[in-house]
Amino acid sequence: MEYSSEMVNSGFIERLETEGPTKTAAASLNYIKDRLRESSFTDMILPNERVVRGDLQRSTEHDTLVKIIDIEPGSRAMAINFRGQPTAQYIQGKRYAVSFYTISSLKFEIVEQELMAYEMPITRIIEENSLKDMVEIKDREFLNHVEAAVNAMQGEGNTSGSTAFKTSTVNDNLTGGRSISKIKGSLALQQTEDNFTVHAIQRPDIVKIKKLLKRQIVDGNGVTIRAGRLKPALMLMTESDADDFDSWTLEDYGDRLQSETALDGYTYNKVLGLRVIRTIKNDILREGNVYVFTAPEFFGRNYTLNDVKFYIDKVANRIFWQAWMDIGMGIGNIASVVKLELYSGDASDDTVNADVIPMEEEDLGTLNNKVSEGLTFPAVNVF
Amino acid sequence: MAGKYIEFVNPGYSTLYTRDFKYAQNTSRGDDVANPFDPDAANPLIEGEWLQMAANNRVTRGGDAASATASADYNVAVSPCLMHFSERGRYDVQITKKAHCVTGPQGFEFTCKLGDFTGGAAGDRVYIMDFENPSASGKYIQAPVCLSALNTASSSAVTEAGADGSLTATHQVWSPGWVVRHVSATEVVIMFDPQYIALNFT
Repeated sequence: MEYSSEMVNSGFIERLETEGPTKTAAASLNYIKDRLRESSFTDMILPNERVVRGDLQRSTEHDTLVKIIDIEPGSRAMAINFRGQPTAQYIQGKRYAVSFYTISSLKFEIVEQELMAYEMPITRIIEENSLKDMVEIKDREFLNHVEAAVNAMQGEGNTSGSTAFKTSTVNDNLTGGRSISKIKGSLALQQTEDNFTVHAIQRPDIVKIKKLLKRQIVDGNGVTIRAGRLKPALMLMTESDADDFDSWTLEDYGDRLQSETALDGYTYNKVLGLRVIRTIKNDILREGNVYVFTAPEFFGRNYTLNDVKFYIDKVANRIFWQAWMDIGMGIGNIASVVKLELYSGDASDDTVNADVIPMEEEDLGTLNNKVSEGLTFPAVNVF
Repeated sequence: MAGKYIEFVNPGYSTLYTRDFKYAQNTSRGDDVANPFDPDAANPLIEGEWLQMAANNRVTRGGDAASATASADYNVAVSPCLMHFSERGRYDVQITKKAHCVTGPQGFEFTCKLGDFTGGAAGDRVYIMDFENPSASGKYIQAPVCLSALNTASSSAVTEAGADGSLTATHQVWSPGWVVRHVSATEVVIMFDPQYIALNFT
């Protein structure tokens, strides 16, 4: 049976009245979409695991929960002669804690009478979009953790913990310019000014960022900053940065790929051996930022406590609903992610980096359309 | 556990209005550079302290550098404050770095065990003022204080929180409510009734 949106809206009310709080479902697409919505890229990088209360630990001081994860201990072997004894090592495993918190949709409200004025299944649209809105916030939190991990590694390998990684410090070998977990794109390195103009990704950029995970980096005192031996598995970038693959030349592609790309664009989900995750969420992963990750077992964990919850209720003629999920994400090995920056400026400088860090939470719901300003064409006023 | 410094008397917590605000660092208050939500920070955020609104929809501790470590300067809030209701070091708060604040409604009652209520009595108004963080010796937060306690703290040293100008006799200060029941110098029940009050300190 086909459901019309009016039936959905009135059925939504009726089911609330007859069956109590529950979900209604049906759809038709008789409305204008504002933007694309995607599922979570975090879950593609760190597969989500469901955990229950019994998997978690609590605190003696308050009522919140963590999951404590073991980290593989270091070990090595040694060559000795027939009468020799190996060096002793007392095992002391390291652990880290992943804390849990809630990501919630907004609390949506409408009165029954006004719900009937909609010809689109607005309750269902908001319900479906709520899940995607929540994973957007999850992706934003994840990227904040990832950026913190990259900056922490940069700080480990640079004088006084400096993270001032910009073209001028890289090219002039100044404090902060040492490449530990970040590199600048080759076009960014040609700039004479440090700014956030994004340049196209080049093939050698990807080769360089892949190599960074594998390399061992030792500081001037012989202290190992990056131990290497990590293998890149996937690359996260914006759709708009990936569009620059289409500008690569015959020299980059060879004639077969060049002719394919000229026709369809670059449609593969791999490049130079790396699986590519492209995202349209340019307000979260800002243009010019490309991250390369190892396989998840070397990197971290991503948990959801129980299931995503949805609550709906009707009190008199007021209907309200809300969705939420309790999640925990943690990066156990901060060396397992590296970053390619396609701009010359310093992304760690909070005074100037607004164009290259995720937008504020409250700014994420901004609309493309300008209907509230009366901008539709042709404009007709209906009274 | 919740209730160390604050207990809601009426209505219950689920009826109150709350908002989670990002926190703006106030280094003059001895905030750790990284994260005052860290329970091991030099001056950790605790349940029951009062925070002021700052730029970009954030909250922060009121006060200036003079009161960060010394008790010679008693900043009193001259702008609205919100009660922070999260225990020190909660895991969810550490990671979201958002202060869980109670915003209303007007008329809720709560038992407050964080503040100075010396000499106070039922009906007295309370003000938001410097108070030594019980979790960090020598570090100051802002908490409710009765006028009687404020007067004993040398009125000439009372200044405006967030600015260094001394209060004048006609200065308007902000009060979060009044004492419903005075239990002791360290515990009162307060009725949330926020408003500006013109105080005469002299």
